[in-house]
Order: sequence, then C-alpha cells, then structure tokens
Amino acid sequence: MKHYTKEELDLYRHGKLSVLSRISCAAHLKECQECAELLEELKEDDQLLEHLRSSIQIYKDLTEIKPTASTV
Amino acid sequence: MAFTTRKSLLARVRGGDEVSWSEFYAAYKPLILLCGGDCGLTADEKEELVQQVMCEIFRKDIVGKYDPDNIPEGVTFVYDPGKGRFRHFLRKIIRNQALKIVRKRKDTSSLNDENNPIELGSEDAWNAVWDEEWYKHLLNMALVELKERVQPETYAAFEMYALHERNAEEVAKFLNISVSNIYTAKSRCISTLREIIKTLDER
Repeated sequence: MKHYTKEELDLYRHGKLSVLSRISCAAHLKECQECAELLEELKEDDQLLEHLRSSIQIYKDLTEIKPTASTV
Repeated sequence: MAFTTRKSLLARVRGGDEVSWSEFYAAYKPLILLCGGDCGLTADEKEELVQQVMCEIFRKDIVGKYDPDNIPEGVTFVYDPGKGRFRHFLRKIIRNQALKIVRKRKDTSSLNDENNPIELGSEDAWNAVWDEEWYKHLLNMALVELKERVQPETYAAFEMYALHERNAEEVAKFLNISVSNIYTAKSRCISTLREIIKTLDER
C-alpha cells in the first residue's frame, strides 16, 4: 500500500489535488490508519501555527509601542 | 542544507558562555514586559521592572559602574549553570522584582484587585503565568533560529504562506516555485520548529 506524505495530505485537505487524486486519497484514508494519523498531525501543526502567529503579533506590538511622555 | 551553526542565545546563556547586555536586553525585554503586565504593573512600572531585572542579572558587571539607562554595548555576563535552569532563575528574579515594585507602590497608594490581577504571593499562580509567557518567548526565539537553519527561499515560503496566511498560489507565483513546494517548505519548517522548540525547552 502506498502511503501519503504529510505534504500530500496537506495538499489534499486544502483541495489542491486533482479530482482523481483527491478521490483516491479519500478512499485510502478510510482504510489506512497511518495516513489518518498523519492527517491528525496536521491539525496539531495548525495549532502550533496559531500559537506562533499570536506570539509573534504580541511581541511585534510590544516592540512597536512608543515610549510614554513620562519615559521619554 | 542548513545555514547556521550559531548557538542560540538561550544555549549560550545556559551553557555559561559570555552573553552581551544588548543582545540579552533585546531578546528578554518583551518577556519581562509581558510578565509585568500580568502583574498589573503600569507602563512606567513595567519599564522599571525591565531595568531592575537586567540590573539584577548583570549586577556584578554593571552596578556602580554604569547608568542602567545607558549601558555600553560591550558589557557581558556569564550565567553560572550551577544555579540550575536559566528559565527558573529568570522566573524567580522577575517575580521578586515585580513584588518589590508592587510593595513600593503599596507604600504610597492603595491598590485594588484590578491593578493587581495576579496574586504575586501565590507561587502557583505566578508559575502558571510564567509558563504561558515563557512559551510565547520560546516560540519567538525558535522562529529566529529557524530562519537561520533553513534556506532563505524555504523560510520565505513558510513566512508568507503559513505565518502571514497568504494564498498558496500567490506565494508560489511570487517566489517562482510550485504550490507543492510551498507545502513542502511549510512541512519542513514546522518539523524543524518542533525540534528547535524541544531543544530550547530542555534548557
């Protein structure tokens, strides 16, 4: 059985595969636990990215704060 | 191919290497400001907290020698790894200095709960806040290290697509690569990021 890579599964869930490839991938995922788990891992990646974006924004906002009059 | 071999700031601190005041200040100031905010400090007090924490860490190298607001670039400090994990050392210093500022304020004005959202006296509450702020700090540091570890084009694809959430096709066109390459870059960067975070967190 040919397994999918994480990149291929990411393309799949974002609808970037061709119609035939998508159908084939969906069928495979129903039978393959390994690939289904890999697909779940992508959700964890999404969470990490969410935390990353939020942390970057918080730090960006902090460094962009202008000094208050009393601290100049 | 990875580009960097430069040790991360945290690795150098933890390893007892010499670290410059300016680099340390730039990297840790946001973390201290965030902790100050969690303690309900005002903007001025948060700036004071940054100065106090830095003075405490660089104590033997700067106190009595330099104006804390005007530390020369070349000043360095060396962390003694025998003191344990640096993050725990820093956590304790920030809490102690925040407590000093709050106590000083209590001497001159009354405090209400809104001005003091976390009970600094409670170590558990403080540790929970610290863990959250440290994680944000860790993610920002990890990103800096990631940028040095991967090819510029890989990082650019990751930054534009995964961090700035731009459309994959637009990013691919802009970088003159395939959409599939964008997804490969994202996957590679996330995998490397997880490794970096794990390593940094162990320090």
